[in-house]
Amino acid sequence: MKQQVAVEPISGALNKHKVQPVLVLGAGITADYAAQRLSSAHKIVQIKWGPVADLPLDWLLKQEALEKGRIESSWEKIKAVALLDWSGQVGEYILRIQLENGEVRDLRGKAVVIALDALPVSTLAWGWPGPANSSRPLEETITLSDLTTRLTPVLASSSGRPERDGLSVWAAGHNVGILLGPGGLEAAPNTLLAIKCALVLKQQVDCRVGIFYEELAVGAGAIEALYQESRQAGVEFYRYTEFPQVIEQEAQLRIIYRDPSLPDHFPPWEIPVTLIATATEYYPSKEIETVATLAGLPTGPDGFLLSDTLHAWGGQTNRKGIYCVGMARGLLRLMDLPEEVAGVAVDLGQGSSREKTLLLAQVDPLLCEVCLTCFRVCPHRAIEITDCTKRSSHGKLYKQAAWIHPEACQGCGICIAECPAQAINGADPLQPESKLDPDSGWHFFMLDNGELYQARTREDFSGNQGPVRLVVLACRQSGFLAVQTLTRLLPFYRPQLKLGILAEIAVYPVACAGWIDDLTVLRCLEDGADKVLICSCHSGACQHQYGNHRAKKRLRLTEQYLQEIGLKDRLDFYTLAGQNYLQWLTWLKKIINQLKSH
Amino acid sequence: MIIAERKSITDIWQMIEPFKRIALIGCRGCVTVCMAGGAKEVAVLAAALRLAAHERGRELVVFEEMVERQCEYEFIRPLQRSYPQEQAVEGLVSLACGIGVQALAECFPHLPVLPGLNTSFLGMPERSGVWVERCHACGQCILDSTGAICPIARCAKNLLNGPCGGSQEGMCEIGNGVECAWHLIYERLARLNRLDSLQSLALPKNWAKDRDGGPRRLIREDWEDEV
Ligand code: SF4
Ligand code: SF4
Repeated sequence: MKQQVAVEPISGALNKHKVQPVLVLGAGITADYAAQRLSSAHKIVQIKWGPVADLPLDWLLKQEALEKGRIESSWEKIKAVALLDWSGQVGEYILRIQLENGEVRDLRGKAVVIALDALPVSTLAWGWPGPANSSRPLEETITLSDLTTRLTPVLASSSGRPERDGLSVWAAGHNVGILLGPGGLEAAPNTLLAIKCALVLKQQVDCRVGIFYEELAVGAGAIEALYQESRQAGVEFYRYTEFPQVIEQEAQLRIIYRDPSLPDHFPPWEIPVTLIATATEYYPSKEIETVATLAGLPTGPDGFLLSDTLHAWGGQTNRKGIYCVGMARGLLRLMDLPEEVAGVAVDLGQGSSREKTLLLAQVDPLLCEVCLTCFRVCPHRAIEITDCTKRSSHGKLYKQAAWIHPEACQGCGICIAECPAQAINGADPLQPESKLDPDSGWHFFMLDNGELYQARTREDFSGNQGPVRLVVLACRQSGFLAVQTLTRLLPFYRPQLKLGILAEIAVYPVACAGWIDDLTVLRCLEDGADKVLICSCHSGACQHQYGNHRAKKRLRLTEQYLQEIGLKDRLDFYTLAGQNYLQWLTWLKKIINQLKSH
Repeated sequence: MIIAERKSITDIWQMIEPFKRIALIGCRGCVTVCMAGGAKEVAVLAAALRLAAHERGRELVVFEEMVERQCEYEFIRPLQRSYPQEQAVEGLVSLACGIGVQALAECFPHLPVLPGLNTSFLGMPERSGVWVERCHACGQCILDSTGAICPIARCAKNLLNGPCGGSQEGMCEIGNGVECAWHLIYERLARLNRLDSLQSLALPKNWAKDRDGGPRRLIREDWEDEV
């Protein structure tokens, strides 16, 4: 049965074309907080939908209200039972919701802030078994998330006035043991929480704190630095291979811990503790899944939104005008909530004046075959299929074609690489059509003695055809940054040097490795390159989600048919981080030596 | 749409061995959409062939052309003007389906026309980058009785009255991740509460309307030109 849809949700006085509200999605305290904070500058419509995690975060709201001195009135709350659809683009998103009385409504907003809570589902099975020989309920055991919540005022206060009331009651003088479950990377959020909490307990309250773990995922994200800091601060770390036992002896909890580095016949340690925190697992609610599907947002392996997107700061998502704060990104984001909402406020304030991307992709509607490739692949959901009218000498032509929303496009160029009709152009100096503009990149010489010089002008470069010619296509976020550093360190080449040139290297920036297609590589080779080298960001670090992966897959095929036509070893793919210019240099030398010896 | 894939470059290279000047003709229809013969594929193949020729020290000129639909004379004819005396090029490589190759050949009676693609089947993208067969063009559609799932195109044995013994947990015994069409049909009819339509026996199909009746031709008299 078709339902009647009422458009125009917003209270009457509002001119919707001028003052679109910001939609805040969520019913819990994180959503309340985001709505309240943003309401000072924007009209807010909060869609109360989704789970409510039981978090004692009222202080956040109060503190915020205190600072602002008032809560703005333009904060409308609408209770919804379902989110049915999500359409539109930055500037005007349209969320179709169902109200409690069954009515269906379309809400419009210039931006959407997703602030859905997650829910603690269980203490892990391996987790807190209760003391082996005691039946009395213990106040001395709490979950890690509880501990976090209690410490959050301290964790979050960067203003130099730590709110310690919550702390002093129960934490001073404690011996705290934090038990992390077995497992490595998946446990990273808990690891980070544990270390953050331990650091606060050590530094602010001077507790003795020990973290028991099977494997610390210090490699993940920002954990390494924190880990070092907490070690120096005196937090103790105990690695176990067998989950520690907890016993109660003379009214004192003890953690029985066996040091795996000691021989078996050594007795285990008994560590007296007054407080034990065990890790809790949080699961993304099904609402998060719904949002991810409807709005086209990526989720991480744990099911939370964007849990591994390195470049998303201030709650940004892959789509412009959609933000995500708090627990929808995983438990660990809770502590970053104020910071994230502040980021959203800044970003919203800047609006469209934000720095334009270098490359703006545009579809030629006459060439577009509406194959949907770009529509499916765009990591930022910037592409719509629209009806378009085009005047030609025969009059008007009506057809459907892809259209790229100029505000939503973030200039990765993936669609340009994948359009089979070559219908998309980018306003980048490096278009597939115009070949690579020799003036846009950097040029280097490697001399016979192995030294590297910069070419001062393009003439320098082309006039000295070295025996080996290398073209490097480097992502602006990684490889090109590395090369940029080199240009500050390397001397300029002077023809008077009269040294033999071993190789010439041309480095071109690309918006994202995802922009590079087989045609670009072939054109470089046609232009006489001996080898094309592609530098992209590391796996999982692509600003455009999967630009590097798509490029890699694409170029693996390119390599195959290069082999078919008898060209071997003419294409290479490297990943590196922007600061790693020395590594880049090493590769370069290795490759040139290989080429020379052929 | 018609799904096709490009022949290996080695094959194409062997086909064009005798020629010094060739033109690659792409098609803006189905094969653009299935990433086999659009403007991009034409450009890539041209570049690859030029490189191969250069590498082997062979002289080869490659032209690139696009046609709106290579299965229509009207779209191909303008090309005749590009290659008037049929001297400009020695051979044409069509990056269209087999229909396009033949239409092109009919328009260029004195030029060799070579297929650059293998025409695969009638299908659709299941998801980005994965195409699946959906119709066999059997000439007499039975989808009404099979829950809109085609057992001719999707059952390896073209069975008309339920699955064979090789249907296991929804999958066909031929493997390759092929789902058993009859399992799908059963599930769908059950969902629609129409399982009774499986009660009646499907009689042998009239295969004369399929390929078995020889090349097919369809005439709409109302549309037919006066000759
Ligand atoms: S990929 Fe190209 S042809 Fe396909 S819809 Fe997009 S613009 Fe049109
Ligand atoms: S350039 Fe990137 S962000 Fe812009 S429309 Fe194309 S795929 Fe989307």
